Amino acid sequence: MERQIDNRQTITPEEDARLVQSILDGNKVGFRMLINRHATTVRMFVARFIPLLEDEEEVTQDVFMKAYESLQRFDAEKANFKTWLLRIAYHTALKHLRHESRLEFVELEGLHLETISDDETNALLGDTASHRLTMLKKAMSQLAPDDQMLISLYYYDGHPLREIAYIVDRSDSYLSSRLQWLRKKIYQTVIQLERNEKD
Amino acid sequence: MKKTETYHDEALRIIMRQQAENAQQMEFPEDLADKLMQRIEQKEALQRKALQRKRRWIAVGIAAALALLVGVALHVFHQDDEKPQQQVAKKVEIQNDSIPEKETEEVTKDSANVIKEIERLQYEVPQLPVAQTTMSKDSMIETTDEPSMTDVMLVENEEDSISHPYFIRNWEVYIQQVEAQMQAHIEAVDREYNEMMTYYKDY
Repeated sequence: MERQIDNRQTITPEEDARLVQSILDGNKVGFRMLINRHATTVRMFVARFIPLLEDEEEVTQDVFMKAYESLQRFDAEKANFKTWLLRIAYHTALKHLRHESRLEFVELEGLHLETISDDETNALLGDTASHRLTMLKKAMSQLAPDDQMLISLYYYDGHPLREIAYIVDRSDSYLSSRLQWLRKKIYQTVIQLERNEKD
Repeated sequence: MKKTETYHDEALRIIMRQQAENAQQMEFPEDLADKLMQRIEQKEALQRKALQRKRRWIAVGIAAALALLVGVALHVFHQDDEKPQQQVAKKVEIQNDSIPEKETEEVTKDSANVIKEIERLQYEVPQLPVAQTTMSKDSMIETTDEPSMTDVMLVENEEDSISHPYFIRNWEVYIQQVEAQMQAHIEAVDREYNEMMTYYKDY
């Protein structure tokens, strides 16, 4: 029996925290409830970076296993359970991607990040023309796995920067400058790809 | 970029949305929770086994350590038991070394004189025979309350007979008898001397 992901469940962080406490008190069945609550979120997050179904399922299982084993370290005051779970998912998926990664990077010639203006970057990254979108996708695939995940967390999930910082285990200021650098790098790669296409 | 600044970058948002939609199209097996719970059970069973093995090894380790401790303790106590004997032996050795040679010679000389005197008395005091027999100590103890002088001499030869009541009592009697005989002998010699002097005076 197979089913499609449905990510519309609403669970309050307080309910999760209570359930975690009951699991720690010996209610093992409670963990099955937690899996059912958050499996879709974790799977969607993992599937965005790991397209192979077998690999995705394995990584998702690893995420929940790690969560079960380190349930005692969950601190409801630092983050809610879903964010804590995404933090584990981020690091588990990243490890898998780094292990499996066979990326070929585009050689960037004659362009320096400091010479690219913000206006140029904003214009390119805001251009929704289909040709540009294709080039952007190519440029995105050239990024390192952790950079791809950062972009995804910021642009798709819309997590606040503080929450992303918790998930990727970095400071807010680092993330801020990293995002700025990444935008310019995407711009640079798109320009290079377009040049290569013309040639 | 300021912390409060946000990027809209519509093109990137569209790409991310498409990526997520592709993920949503993927079909996932429904039994994820069952598989995970089974995996957790298996892992916990393995951990329990590992813990049991660890405990067993700890128990073996403790038993070995205890056996070693007992062995060491026994060895130490055994050495303590030997010490007093060794100390006594050493003390005796030191005492023997401290006896002057001259003194030893004198004692040996005195002992020889005493033996000579006893031998002489054997002939001169027939009522106190000092017979050399092969009677054992056991047979002597089984005898009457008044052992013979032979028994006394035998007892004297025994290593630990110095405090034997027979020895003490009979040795005193023996000394008194010897003294009496010697006194009688001296008196007889005196008498002979006086008679002889009287005889010479007559001439």
